[in-house]
Amino acid sequence: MSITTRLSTHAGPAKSARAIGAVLIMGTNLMASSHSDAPLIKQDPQANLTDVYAFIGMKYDGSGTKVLNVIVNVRPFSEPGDGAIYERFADDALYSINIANPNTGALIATYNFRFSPVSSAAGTYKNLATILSYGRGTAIGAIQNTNDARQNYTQTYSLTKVMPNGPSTVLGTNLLIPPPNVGKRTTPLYNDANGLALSGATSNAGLDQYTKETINSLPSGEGVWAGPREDSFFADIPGIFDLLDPRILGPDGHGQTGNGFDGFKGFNVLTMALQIPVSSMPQIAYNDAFTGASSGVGIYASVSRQRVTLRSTSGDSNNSGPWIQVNRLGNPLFNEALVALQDKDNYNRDVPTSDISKYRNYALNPELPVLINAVFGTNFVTTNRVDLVAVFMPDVLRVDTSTGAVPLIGQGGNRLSGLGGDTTNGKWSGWPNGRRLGDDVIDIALTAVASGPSYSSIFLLGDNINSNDQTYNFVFPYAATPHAGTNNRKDH
Amino acid sequence: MTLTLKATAWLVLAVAAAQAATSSPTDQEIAKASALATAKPDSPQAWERYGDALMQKGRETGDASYAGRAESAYKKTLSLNPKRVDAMIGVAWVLGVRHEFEASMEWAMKALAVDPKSVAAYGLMGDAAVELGNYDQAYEQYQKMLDLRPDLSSYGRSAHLLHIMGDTRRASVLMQKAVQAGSPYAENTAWCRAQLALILFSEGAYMPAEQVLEAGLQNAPNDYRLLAAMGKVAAAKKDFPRAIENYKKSTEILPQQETVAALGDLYTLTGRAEEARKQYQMVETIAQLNRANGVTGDMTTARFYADHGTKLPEALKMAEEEYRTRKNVYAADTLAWCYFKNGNFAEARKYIDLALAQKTPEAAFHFHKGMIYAAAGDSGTARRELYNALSINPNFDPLQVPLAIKKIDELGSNAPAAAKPTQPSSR
Repeated sequence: MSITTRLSTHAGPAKSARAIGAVLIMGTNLMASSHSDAPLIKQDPQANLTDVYAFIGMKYDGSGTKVLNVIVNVRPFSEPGDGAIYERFADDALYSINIANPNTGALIATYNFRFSPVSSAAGTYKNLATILSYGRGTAIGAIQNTNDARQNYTQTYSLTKVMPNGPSTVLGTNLLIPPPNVGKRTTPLYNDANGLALSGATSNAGLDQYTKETINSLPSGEGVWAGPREDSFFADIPGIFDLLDPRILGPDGHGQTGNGFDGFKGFNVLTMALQIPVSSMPQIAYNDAFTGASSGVGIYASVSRQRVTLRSTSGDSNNSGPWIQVNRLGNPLFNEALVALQDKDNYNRDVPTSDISKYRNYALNPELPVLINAVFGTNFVTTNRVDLVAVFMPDVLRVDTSTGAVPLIGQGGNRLSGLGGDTTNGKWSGWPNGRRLGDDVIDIALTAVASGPSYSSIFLLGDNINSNDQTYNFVFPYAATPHAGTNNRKDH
Repeated sequence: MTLTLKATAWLVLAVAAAQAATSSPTDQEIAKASALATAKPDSPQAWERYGDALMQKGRETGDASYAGRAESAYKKTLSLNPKRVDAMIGVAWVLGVRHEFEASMEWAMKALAVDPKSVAAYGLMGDAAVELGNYDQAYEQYQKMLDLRPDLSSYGRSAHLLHIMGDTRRASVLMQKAVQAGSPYAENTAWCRAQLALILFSEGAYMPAEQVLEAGLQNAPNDYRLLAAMGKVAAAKKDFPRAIENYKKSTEILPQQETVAALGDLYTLTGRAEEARKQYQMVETIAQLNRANGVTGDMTTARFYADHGTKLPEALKMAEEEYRTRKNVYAADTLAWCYFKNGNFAEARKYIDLALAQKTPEAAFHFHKGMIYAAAGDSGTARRELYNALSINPNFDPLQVPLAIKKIDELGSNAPAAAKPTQPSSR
């Protein structure tokens, strides 16, 4: 690949940076879900949580067990062409999926992911005398199975369940991560005949070999998977603000082309996916923002790194201290769209139990409708937004675990969740009752900002991006097959 | 002599006033204009006004014969004064209703030659351009209209165009402006509300669409467009009894082919085969009536046949004929769908790509594309398009959606075919 094409493939993130710039005029870092929130964390992509999803479904193995699917994405804007080199989980970070009390945010249980070393010195390479991580190990050619002789480097991980101040149980070790989608010659089983990633499997048997064989059913009942996936988020942030642009009636603006630009199109992320049997969790009563009395749990994700003591007396200063949380994520858009700049880093360090005391005002009297009103002359309610407090406080993704499996987008589910009339057992099928892949959280959130707290006249706001650029899989691990390095959706 | 004329005029006005007490603003306007034209048969303005009133009545009732009567009135004006702009516009309007878009444009241009600031002429030029698929031209005409006079007519038309061009956000904002701008006729505002609801529906926003329609039906409880849109939204929310009720009411006021077909589909889905058959029969009867009234083009009938898998060669012929004169995205989609149903996948692909060239957010277009590409063996594109259709508007059509879901399932239950290793394996 020439230098010119290398540069052009990196034009994607630059464009997205411009998108952020356009929003910054608004004074708010309204970046899509958590793709680039606090300024400090942006330089640490492996620890940058982008999206958390949680929805009720059935265990992938056909056992008929009702589970809570939790899917967590990190490392935004992974360039598919770089996957062969960079698409790995950090080996020095602790990735956590936390189950919390939906009212207080207090921890109920935590699932910790730890990943194996990535450096060539410590990593599990089959052959250190080649330039390839994929396509040549002890043999040369296309990878037919995860960790076969042609996959030189394979990352593995362990999963541990920790109870607060209680026992910690190792649920699985040496669990395999499938290779990144290098391209149709090296990882053909991800791709169709044109070398484009093929997604949208509707059965476990329909999944590609690499993904299928790296799904694990643990003796403790959970299903788990981790690896590279397509970025499941979709949004056109500048498009949102363009909508009320006064130019719309002027001689110049009328002919704008319409159709938003999905700033996340063609990129990959790293994904951790868990299926937790609903029977293994408590069902705690809480009040849902839209449907009232509910019962279930709150979900949030966090990433921690170990404290390093600079003036160490023991001489061992590396990776020995306690874990310090560096990033967390619950609901989409809270830290990005509602929390002010001065508190964004604080939010990442804090735990949900302090949200109500520290961040409630950002939801109750949000700045976002103030800005929209000021710029566009609208009259959205800016104070006493108890509806937003109910969604965001504390900032855990509340999900009612008493409902049946929710319909997925593409199988009857509506991207606007309850705003589209999509309910399951009387509860909204998607966000803010949990969150499904394909829930259009930008449209739902902005519509809520514009229409609440009464919702007597729903004002539909949003961007012009209504679906993901890639079809999600309809079975665990749900997130879409990663884009191919050599031929991906940015090229089409 | 003078006395008699005055007396006659008085009598006519008195009758008109009596009718006005019990009838709609449109009926009152027809009575007044008719009285005026009778009283002053040599007044070009009087006949124009009468023609306009008849056209409005035609909009409200869907009765094509009003257009014929209006045309006579406009022609009367032009016989009195061949330079009357409003009468030329009237003739252009009549021709547009009959789908004679090129002739409609010619008359609108005649009007503009006399009055280059005729808002309505730009509107009709734009309307014809939209129907003919000349979207750049439509932008220009509507922009001129907006610049001259921002009101319900210009906002509403522009919103419709923006929707076709895939800018649903701005389309719905403009349509809301159109509703706010208002009109003396409840039907005009109802049209805007129905269009707004359909834009919202096309995005799967069923709750906001329902709210818009409820507000509209409070002001115009018997508007067939609002009732038809409400039927559509209720069907999408799987409330079939309510959908049937609204569709029925709508078709009783004015049987539009799409609504009659949709009602038939709901009867089919609820196991009422005989009632469904009657509705389907009605779709064909309306087609015959339209043809008898001089309305050209049979896209809706072609689509109906294709959706229901009947008279497929005939449907294709109709769609081809329609597309020859109207190269808009909806005609392209229907033509593609008819080609697909007749087994010609290559032509189907060509026309479905044309239908989606403007990125029009119609779930049905994406569904058609998915089915066409699946048949042509490109399962990657097929899966994405079907998924796209169902993400945009998950219940866009109660009869077609289950087919989309089934096709995704078929395509997605097979793992991608394994490519052969490029080198001998040593695993």
